[in-house]
Order: sequence, then C-alpha cells, then structure tokens
Amino acid sequence: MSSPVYHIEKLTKTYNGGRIVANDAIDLEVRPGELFGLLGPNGAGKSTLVRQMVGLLKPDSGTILLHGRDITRDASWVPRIVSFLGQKPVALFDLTVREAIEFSGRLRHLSMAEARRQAAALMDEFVLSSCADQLVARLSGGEHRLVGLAVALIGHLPVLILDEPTNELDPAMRRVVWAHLQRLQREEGATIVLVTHNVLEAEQVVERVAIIRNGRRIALGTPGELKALVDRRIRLELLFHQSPQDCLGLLRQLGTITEVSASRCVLLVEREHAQRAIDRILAEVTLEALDDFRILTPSLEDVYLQLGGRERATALTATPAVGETYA
Amino acid sequence: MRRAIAAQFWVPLLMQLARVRLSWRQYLIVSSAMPLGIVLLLRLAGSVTTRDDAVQIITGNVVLAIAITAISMLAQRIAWMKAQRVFDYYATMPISRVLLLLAILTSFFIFALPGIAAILVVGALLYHVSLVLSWTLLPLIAGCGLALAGIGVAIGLAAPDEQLAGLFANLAMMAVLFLAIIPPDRLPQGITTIAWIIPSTYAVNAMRASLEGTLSWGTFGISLLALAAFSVAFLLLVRRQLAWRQE
Repeated sequence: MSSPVYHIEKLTKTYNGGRIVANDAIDLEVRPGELFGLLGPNGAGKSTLVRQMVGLLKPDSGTILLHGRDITRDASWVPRIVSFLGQKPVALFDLTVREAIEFSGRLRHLSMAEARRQAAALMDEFVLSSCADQLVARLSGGEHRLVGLAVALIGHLPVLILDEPTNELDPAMRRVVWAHLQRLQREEGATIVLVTHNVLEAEQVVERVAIIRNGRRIALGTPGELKALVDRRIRLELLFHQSPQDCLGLLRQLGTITEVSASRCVLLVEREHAQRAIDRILAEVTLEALDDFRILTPSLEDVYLQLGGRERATALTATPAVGETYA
Repeated sequence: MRRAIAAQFWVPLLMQLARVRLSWRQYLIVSSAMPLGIVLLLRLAGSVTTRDDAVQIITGNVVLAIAITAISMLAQRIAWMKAQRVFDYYATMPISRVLLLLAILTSFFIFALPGIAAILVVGALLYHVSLVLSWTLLPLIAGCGLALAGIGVAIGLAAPDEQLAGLFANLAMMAVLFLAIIPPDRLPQGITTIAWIIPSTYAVNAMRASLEGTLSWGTFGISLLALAAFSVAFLLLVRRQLAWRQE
C-alpha cells in the first residue's frame, strides 16, 4: 500500500491551560484517494482535529505528517496541497459570489481565464449562477456553505478537508454535493476528509470512519468493520393491515420484539437465524397480511449511537429508538 | 513567478478594495476631514506667524492623513480580521502574510492620497505660502506609511477587540500628530528623545524641507534609510506576530 497522506500520532490539544482536553492522544491515518469520515457528537473535538490538520492550530504535542513531512512546526506549505472548508466565509462577505470563487482560484495560482472557467463550472454545478453577482454577505446559510465549498474546490487541490459540507443544505443540494465529492475522488483521485454529523448520508460515501468522542478516537475502520463491533442483529419491520396481535406468538419465537403498536411490529433477530425467520414470516404471516415488510442491517448510525453519539440521538434520526433498543 | 507575486499582492488588494467599494466615500471623508480640520483650526487660532511654522503645520497634517490610514484604519481592520477569523481564509491559501498585509495597507493608503493633495492645496492657500512640489515627497510619503503601519499592525494584533484597537490607535495618532506639528526645538528634552523612536519624525523633517525646497541629498537619504529600517522592522513583526496559526 502506498504511504499515507496524513499520519497522525498521539495528537493532543488542550485549551484553557490544559483544563479542556479537545484532542487526547489521537492516532489516525488517511490513505491516498480515500473518502474518510470523522464522526462524533458536538464538542467531541472534530473541528479542533481538522484545524490542526490544515495548519490553523498548533498542537500541544504529537505529530502530524502530511506526505511524510511534519507540519506541527512549519505548516506554511500545507495550503499548496490541502484545501479547507471551515466556518462561514466571513473573509468573502464583501465580494460577489463570482468574485469570491474566482479570486480564491487566483490565490491558488490559477490564471485569470482558468479561474473564470472553473468558477463558472462550480457555480453551475452548485446552482449558484443565479446569484453570481450578489454579495456573499447577503446569501442564506445554505448558500454560504455552497460558496465555501466552491471556494474549497477551485484549483483542484489533491487533498480536501471539509468541515460539515452539507450543513444547512436542502436534500437535493446534499445529493449534488455528495455526488460531486465522489466524482472528485473517483476521477481525480482526490483524498477527502469529511467532518459530519449526518451519519446516514455519510454512510453512503465514506470508505473509512473514525468516531471521536470527548477528544478521543473511540472507533476506526470501514463502516462494515464498525458495524461488526456492535449489535449485529437484523432488524425486521412489519406493517400490518390489521392488528398484529394474532402473530405476536410466532414473532416472539423468532426474535426479540422491540416495538409494537396497533399496526406495526419491530423485531430483532440473530444474524444466523434471519433467513429462517424471514422464511417463516413469509409462509405463516404471509405478504397478503402486510402493508410493508423491511429487512434492515445495522446502519453506521447505529454504530455511532452505540459507541459515541448518544447525546445526538434524537436530533440525528427520524427513528430515534433504533440505537436505544439495541442497548 | 510573476503570476505568483500578482496573485499574492494584486488579488488580495482587489479583495480589500471590494470591501471599500461600498463605503469609499466615508473612508475618503474621514481620512481627509481631520487633517484639513486641524489645518483650518490652527489658522483660525491665529498662532502661526512665520512661514516655517506654516509649513510645519501643513507637513504635520500630511503625516496625520497618512497615520489615519496606516495606524487607525489598519489597526481596526486587523483587530476585526482577527476577531472574525478572517485570517483563517488567507491562512489556508498559498500566500505570504507580508504581501497580504501590504495589500491591506495599500487599500487604505489609496484614501490618504487625495487627502494629502487637499491638505497641500488648502494649506498653501490658507497660510499664503508657496510650496515646492518635488518628486522627493512621494518616497517619503510611502515610506512614512509603511513605517507607521508597524504601529497599526502591532495595535491591531495586541488589542483584545476592534473598539479597543480604535481607542489605542487614536492615542498613537495623538502622539504622532503632536510630534509632527510641534517643531523639535520647542519640545521638552524628554519628548525629543521619544520623537526619535517614532518613525514619522524622520518623514516630517524631510518632507518639510522638501516642501520648502531646501531638502539636501544627505537628509533625504538618511530619512529614507530610517524609514526603511522601521519598515523592515514592521515586516519582520508581521512575519513573526501575525498569528494566523493559533496557539
């Protein structure tokens, strides 16, 4: 395997003279061309971590190697290969959308013509063309995000570090952004590090994940590996035309019932028994009696909730019971 | 290489000017109103009797116009950029801090120039003196701006917020104005010493001589050298202290 883009060892960062430990001996490796996700609840230390990775923040101790070179002492060369999407683009508020993107391209040493061409393409892609001549300050929160993204993407740097790229975006734009990032990775071999709360969406795109909680890295691996760490039971959701009462006896034999209501029943079954359970439901309950029948494997969100993100459970998901019922 | 320099100075300058394109009138008025007002005030107070004094006052107010941009405006802008984390953006771009700071300074300095022209014209008319306009004035004005910018940047970086930066900058400008308007031979002994560590003193002496048409090559050279030394110190300060990398 080729050498890592980032190699982070025992990275520690404290605030307030050591009283608040934002990053606590974090080890991490980001490989070339991967889409890497950093998940964790609010205040877990994710932003602190990425701010050190782009050279905006100096670590207390530990090393960050970027392509084998230590950036904890001299980070001045980092912007030549790494671009960063951070907070609101206040620096660009007095510019129009077009200027903000074009000027950023020129700061990355693009020619004027090339900056113009790339800015036009990005505005087109992120549906910003209609507000190209508006001041960035006047835009909405979601539009700020998109301008910030375009600013991060212009110049096509090989490493992208994006802090909450889809925050405040509507579902359609989220999809556009994820697709764009996947295309960059696939076609240009870009290495992308994402910080996100949006675990369900991240699961569709990230290849490896680290979960951060209280400044510590509490899990690291592919979504599949992480799922194997937690409850691996299969979740069966049955929606009945009528009351499920008559079937409860059978369902209890198959697994653990976690939710039951007038027309709905949720069942957790061991992986090894799933096939038999599904067969018996189809044979004995029959599809005719069901409005809907869903078979779900644990999601990355379940992993996240079980391992670290419990505080965020209700805010994160429309079915907040998932993580809790496993516990 | 040329493109790199252009990108690092010209593009940030355009970005800064974009900020003032909405409020350039206010900047223009503020940067020239105060020096013009002081020229007028001292005329009306009637304390000026000799040609020497008149030229000293005109020169002092030229320096004040420069100080408003290089100290006051710059200090407040730097404090604001620090508070709003604007440096985060520039710090993640492949550009030099020194060129960025020069671009910011230049964007304000442009507003000092019409003010300076107005002071020279109005001053000459009010005091009935004829001034010599020599090319030597230009490097002295630029050098004075660059050297004073060190004070502005230092205040901007040290002040806890934008408002305090403004207040500290006003204090510093008071000192600059005082030392620039009062001829050195009338200053108390202790203050004369302070005058020599404030960069504008070197600019004032040479500018006055230039406007009177008595500037010798020696004075011109020494003054420029002194201003250059202050400017280099300023650029080193920026390189070291412009903390876009937080601890």
